Amino acid sequence: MPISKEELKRVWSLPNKGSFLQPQAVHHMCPGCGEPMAYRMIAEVMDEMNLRERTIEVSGIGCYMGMDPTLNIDRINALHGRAPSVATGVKRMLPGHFVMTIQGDGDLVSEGLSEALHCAARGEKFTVILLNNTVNGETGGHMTATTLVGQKTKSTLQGRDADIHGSPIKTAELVAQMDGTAYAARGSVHSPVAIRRTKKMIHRAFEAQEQKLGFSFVEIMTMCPTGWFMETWEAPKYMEDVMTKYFTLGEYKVHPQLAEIAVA
Amino acid sequence: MPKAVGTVTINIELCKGCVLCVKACPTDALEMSVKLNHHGFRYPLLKEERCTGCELCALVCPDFCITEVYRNVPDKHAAAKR
Amino acid sequence: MAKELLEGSKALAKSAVLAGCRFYASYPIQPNTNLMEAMARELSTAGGVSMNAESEGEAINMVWGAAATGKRAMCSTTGTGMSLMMEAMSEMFAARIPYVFVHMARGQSEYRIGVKGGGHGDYRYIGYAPHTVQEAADLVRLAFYTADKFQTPVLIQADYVLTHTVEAVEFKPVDEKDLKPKTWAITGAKGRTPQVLSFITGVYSLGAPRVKYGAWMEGQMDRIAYLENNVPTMADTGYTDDADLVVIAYGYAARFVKFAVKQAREEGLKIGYVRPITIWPLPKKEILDAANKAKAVAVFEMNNGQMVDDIRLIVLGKVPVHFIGRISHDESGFGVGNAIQIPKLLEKFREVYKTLPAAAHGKR
Repeated sequence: MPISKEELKRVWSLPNKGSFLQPQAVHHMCPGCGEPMAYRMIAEVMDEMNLRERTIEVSGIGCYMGMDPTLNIDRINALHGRAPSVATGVKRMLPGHFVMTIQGDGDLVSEGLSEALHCAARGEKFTVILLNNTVNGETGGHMTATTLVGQKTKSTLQGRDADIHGSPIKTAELVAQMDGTAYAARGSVHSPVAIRRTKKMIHRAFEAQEQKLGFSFVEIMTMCPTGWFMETWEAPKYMEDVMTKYFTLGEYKVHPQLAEIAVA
Repeated sequence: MPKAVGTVTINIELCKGCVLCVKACPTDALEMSVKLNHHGFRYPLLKEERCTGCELCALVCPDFCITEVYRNVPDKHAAAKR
Repeated sequence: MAKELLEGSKALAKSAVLAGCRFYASYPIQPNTNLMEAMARELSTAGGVSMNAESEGEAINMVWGAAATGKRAMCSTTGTGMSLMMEAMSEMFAARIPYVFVHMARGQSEYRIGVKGGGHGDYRYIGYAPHTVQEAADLVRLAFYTADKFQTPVLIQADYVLTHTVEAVEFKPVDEKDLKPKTWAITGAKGRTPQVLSFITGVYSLGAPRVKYGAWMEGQMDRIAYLENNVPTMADTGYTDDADLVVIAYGYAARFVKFAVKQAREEGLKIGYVRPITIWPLPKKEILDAANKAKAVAVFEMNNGQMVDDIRLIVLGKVPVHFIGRISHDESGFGVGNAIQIPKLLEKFREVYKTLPAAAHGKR
């Protein structure tokens, strides 16, 4: 016998105010893209921590620029790879504000690796979110500094050859080595468990900034079925079976003061 | 122990037919339609009798189509409402 | 305010901080480092932030971020560093970010790239070229006001000679009453709709209809025309009423030219000078007025010929325009070469003077 909604309890509804802006949340990312899950988690954590009105986001350049309007916050669009430097200027001038960057792997790991590492070394008190789908989505699915060896992309149609193109860079591990880093972690959005764990990582990274402990960083592995030449339902499996074996999930650096803070 | 029962609200016009919700559902409560939405994609249909209101489909949907999740929260000391 | 004895770089720094600049980022390179050191000292007492960035590209983008929040911010570098910053400099014009860029030059080979010809796209930086320490202090103060008034970047063309010259300087304020509040600044969406500072469509509010990229970029043409016609130009002229030969120079080169012109007059040569203080937009009226009364124009700059192209376009064939400058460095490589020696300058003046029509020759 069908149950009517009146007899049930509504346990969850999509936020439609605060940080998550509808109808702008209607976006044009590919079917099965992982980036929207990351954006929704960021919006949820921002609302749980009541950050929206004093947040300034500095966005990189990539597919996710189309997701930008989903976050109902002030924003500065930066040049490819330059978001951490722009964020430095913002946070130094407005230290009481919450500042974060959202960048893709082409933006951060290819174009702007030195900026990101310099900000980590300096312990700049803002948060960098790296959306890593191992391709340059917006340009059509080309190789970046995180493309796996053997991975087929538009510019490595035979698969990335380590002899010619080298091997991918593990950014979370690099960032964790800097003394200025308070929190560095890698999460993923390929399964409900991964999504929930990544949300906790985002929360901890944001706490690190709020507690002024130093640079905080979350690398979020996202699916790109288009760039990976896959069906939408194959991409999460590829992420779980292949990608996360190289880009291992977990926390790479946790500031001692942060470990004591309870995370919802 | 009474079984949880639930339902979800799906905005089928936002769907891009990625099928991730169907794959995420632990009780096979979702299956893709035959008809197409105005984008031209097939969209998920709920077999309500199988839904437990676990929220996993809402968690994984990239297009925010699952707008509400309902669940019967069984009271331990009373019989489940039917 | 009482007069102080300061070297150029210190005067530039003090004037910037008095103008309200509270963010500065730069990378060490001579002679820019003199300004960097001075800014570090000034800002630490003024409660601002002075960043010694790890690269030029990072420095200019930090200034982008600081200026985007509505604060007064400044960047500086030398020659090759400006090449590294060109991407951000070009886009900051497109994004209409007001800030001051001080080019601590070696020589004058960056005239063109400073104001319009270095990066990508059709950008224009308003350009001020001081030739004394006092003028440098005044122009920096004016630059911050002009940048905010027109919501556009402003470049100060300073140099090695200015950096190391010690002169008396008095710091005077600029009337800023007509400046409007920076409602476009990105300061957090408290009590208002969130807004985005985009470098391809300018600032827009979330949810509001957005100007199309094509229309915005075409609008840059109107914007450049507006700046060209509305930014007040400035020039310093001398002996132009009866000059048969008008020498045009800017910055430190002009300082030597002015002295040489005075000497030439004592020799009986009817030479005058026009010194553009705004190198963009150039003071067309003063240049054309002087050229119309003269028989020839000679442009002296310490490069391979950059401003001379613009002068030729202004004069447009009314009189011949000679190029009497050259790339000139001593072993230091800082642009203080032989060409600015007074005897060499006078030689050049006489050379060109000989080519003038006979009726022009005055007493010899």
